[in-house]
Amino acid sequence: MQRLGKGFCYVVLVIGAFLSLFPFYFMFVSGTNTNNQILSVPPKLTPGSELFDNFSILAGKVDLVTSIWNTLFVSVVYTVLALLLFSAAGYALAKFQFKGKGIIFGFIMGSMMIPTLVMYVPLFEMMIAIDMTDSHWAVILPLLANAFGIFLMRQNMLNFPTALMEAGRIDGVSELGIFFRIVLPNIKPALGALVIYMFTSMWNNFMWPLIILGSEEKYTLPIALAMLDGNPTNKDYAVILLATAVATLPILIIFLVFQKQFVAGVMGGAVKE
Amino acid sequence: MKKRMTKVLALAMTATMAVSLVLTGCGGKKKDSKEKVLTVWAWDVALMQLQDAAEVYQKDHPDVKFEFEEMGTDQIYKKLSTSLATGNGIGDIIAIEGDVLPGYADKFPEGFLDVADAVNADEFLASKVSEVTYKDKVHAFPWDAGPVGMFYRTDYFEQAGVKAEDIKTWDDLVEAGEKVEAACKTPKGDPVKMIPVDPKKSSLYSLIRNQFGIGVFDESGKPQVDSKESVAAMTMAAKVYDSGIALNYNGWDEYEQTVLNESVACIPEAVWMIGTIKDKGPQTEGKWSVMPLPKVEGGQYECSNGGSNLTINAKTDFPEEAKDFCKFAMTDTKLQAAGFENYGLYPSYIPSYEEEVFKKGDAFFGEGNVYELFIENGQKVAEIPISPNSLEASDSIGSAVSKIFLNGEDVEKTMKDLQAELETKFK
Amino acid sequence: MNKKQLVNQKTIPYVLIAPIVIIFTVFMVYPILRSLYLSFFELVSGSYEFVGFKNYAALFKDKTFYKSLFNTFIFLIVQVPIMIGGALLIAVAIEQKFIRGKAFFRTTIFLPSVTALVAYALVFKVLLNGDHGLVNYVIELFGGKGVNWFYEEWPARFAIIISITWRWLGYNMIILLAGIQAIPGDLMEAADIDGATFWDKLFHITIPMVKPIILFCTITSTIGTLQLFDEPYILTAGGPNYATITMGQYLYDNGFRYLKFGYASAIGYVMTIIIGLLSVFQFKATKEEN
Repeated sequence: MQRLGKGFCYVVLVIGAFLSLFPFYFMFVSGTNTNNQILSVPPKLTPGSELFDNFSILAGKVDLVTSIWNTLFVSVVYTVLALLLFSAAGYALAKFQFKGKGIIFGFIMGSMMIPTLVMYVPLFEMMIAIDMTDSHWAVILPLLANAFGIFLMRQNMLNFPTALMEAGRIDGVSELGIFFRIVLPNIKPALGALVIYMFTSMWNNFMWPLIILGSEEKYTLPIALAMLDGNPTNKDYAVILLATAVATLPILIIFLVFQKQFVAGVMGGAVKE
Repeated sequence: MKKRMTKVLALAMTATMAVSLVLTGCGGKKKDSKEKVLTVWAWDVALMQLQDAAEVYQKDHPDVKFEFEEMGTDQIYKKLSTSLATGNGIGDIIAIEGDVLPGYADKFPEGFLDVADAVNADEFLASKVSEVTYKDKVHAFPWDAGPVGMFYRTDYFEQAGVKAEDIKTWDDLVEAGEKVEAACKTPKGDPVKMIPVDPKKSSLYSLIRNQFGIGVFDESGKPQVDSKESVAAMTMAAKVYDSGIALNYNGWDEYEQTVLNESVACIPEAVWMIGTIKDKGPQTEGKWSVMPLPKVEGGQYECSNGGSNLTINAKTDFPEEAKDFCKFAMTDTKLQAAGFENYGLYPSYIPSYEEEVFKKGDAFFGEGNVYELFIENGQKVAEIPISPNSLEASDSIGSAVSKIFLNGEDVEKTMKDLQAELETKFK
Repeated sequence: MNKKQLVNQKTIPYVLIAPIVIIFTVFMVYPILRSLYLSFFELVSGSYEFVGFKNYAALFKDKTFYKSLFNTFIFLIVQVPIMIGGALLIAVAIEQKFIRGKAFFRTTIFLPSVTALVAYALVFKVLLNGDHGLVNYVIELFGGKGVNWFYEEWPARFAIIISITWRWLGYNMIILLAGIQAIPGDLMEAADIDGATFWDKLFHITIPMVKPIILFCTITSTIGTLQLFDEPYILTAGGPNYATITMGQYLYDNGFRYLKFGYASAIGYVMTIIIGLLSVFQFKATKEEN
């Protein structure tokens, strides 16, 4: 019986890994092939020699350095702010009783149910009214209203030992001190999870930055790359796929670096270090 | 000590906020108002053509500067949908596809600059002029047109013993298609199909309906899909599809594949398809030619499909400069000819057809002048009144096409239901 | 001493939550109210005209909307259980002691959720191609009949279900993995001593222990599926005959393609009500069980 389980597990995992990896592989390999090789049936699945040509077309069309820098800037600032604000909010919601707590938490959770698409038009009108269109801050700030991240932090904080907080108070540590110097260092796995979640969602974010950013020098990578997909009657898939491969690489790196924390922290609290 | 820590942190946060405010300030800054800079939004080939035009234009107008931003069609529309109401954050000069324009012109009548005084209607293809005119305002310069012809593979026709000049009607096409399928194999060994059809889209039906010279809506904006002609067009489309000569495709990428994989013998498509065929099927050089679309009984018009127009943001700081440049870019025959030769943008400005390019043809499409047919057909396209609801209607028609082609539902009944559906939708 | 400070045990929760409350008020409450307001208007020739409940009334007569509702529920009922079940299975498999290369499997299976949509769309169209697709090839290898994935209503729905499952299974798997890792090791050891089989442990220890996390995944996946947009948009464009159109895509079409912002907002609020009711129902159902 045990042996059946073993074989079964490997079969499931190998199939799962293969299916997951295949489109990914296709994306990277296609960046080295020609447009027509990609469109052939079946497409060419071995690395080709067109990488350099495709890359020079891509680099000629998109200012990669600027758009990567922009994406990094919004993603990092967003992630840092989210870490700070969400863990503060999560801490307050999990560890304190205060007036309006129920309403605030209920509203935050409820906001998850509203389709984000309906909010873009009002948000855009608002950004015009306060003259904040075409700025990276207009990309970052509205997306900080993110229920999932706050919920994640609250769940992680629920199991945080109250005794540690009390010990801090007895030692005369200020309340903010307790948060920054006792609580935060002790929930690193959860913060790791939040980093991956926030960073990935901002790095890949498309619709809102597209609406709010107006000038090319402000574009984030997904926007800059989407512009490549523009010719309605003749598309260059090799370049499009190479571009998406380039855009995915940083996410891959972030995930590989933080994955241990991510796994441990994503449903957090339960997992002891 | 501990207190200092929190103070430092508080300070850091304040600093972050301050920096953000400064950065925000920078973001909102306007360009130096003395300099005349026109921001141009267009995609790929359209952008390149406008860049070429600007280069020539600047020789006589050194004071006008340009900023070119490559924008995908989808991206342009998403931005216009949110921004055109205020004109904030969008380019000065914007390329828009023909079928999308009326929607914006209707919802945002003040969105685009009226260019009636710069567009001489007699010099452009009539069908394109009607495409940019909505409620007595000319919302855009007509740019490239899409007169439709039937591209066909001479080698497949020869193998099957089919003659292009014998294909006069859609019924003839079906008959020839059966011969082609029986006789020809693609390089991969599959039987060759006659035409590619997306059974989820309205294209084939629209082509045939256009031959009757009518649109989805009449002059007053009332749907007329249950009219005699419209039903006849759908019946014919269904007949062609049901005969089995069509190759299904799903979306643009698979459409391009039919060229690459040489899986079809004919493609009924607009003149801009020349670019796609050359690009995606370089190995088929010399094997293509073009013939008129098969006729439908009672149909006397030619068709057009696609093409784009050039609009000016009504809130631009430099309306006169923008208009002057667009007029130049759209009516300089040398530029139009070059745009066609380099990027496949077939001009709607009639005097352009006198240029050499249009007279010498293209060797890729064998002997004879491949353009002749399109030049002739372009002027026989009916002036179909435009409607702001055409995009939504075309989605509904696509659904009706699926019902008829894929589920085998009755044409007459489906068209009646469709008429009722459109009437409720666009009351 | 503490009382003198501005930030003390009483005030600290307010200080901590204040920024989030401000952000939610500005960037969430306002847009919600504004779009709710817009759902009673329609854009006519450049300005909003009050139409009362007309948008909502029209919605209740809109066949396409009903179809999108139907499709969305099919996706929900069929896809969410398949995905959560699959994610659980893989998470359990990875956590088996004897498995080597845990990090490799974990990473690869998570990858789809960060793959770019363009690549994803192209690959799935190739894999599911009716004549030359790999999937049909495998089906025919086993003596089955190839399926016309994109040209028949039910197969098209299943094509969408396969695609969403592929994309989001790994994401849920990672979350479930965290829950499984939290199960105390001695529980499993005790079971081993008692001679429990793999399946015994799965059904009697693992699943009951990670139930709250399964619930969490189910609720987030439900919300995600109800707002589904990407897959039908890129793979089938909602067709054939609206067989794969979702509420999310219909909202998008109305707002951004047909430029009917009022109508799109009305769709958004009907969606919100449906999602809200379902979430309450799911919470209630699990609370009663406990």
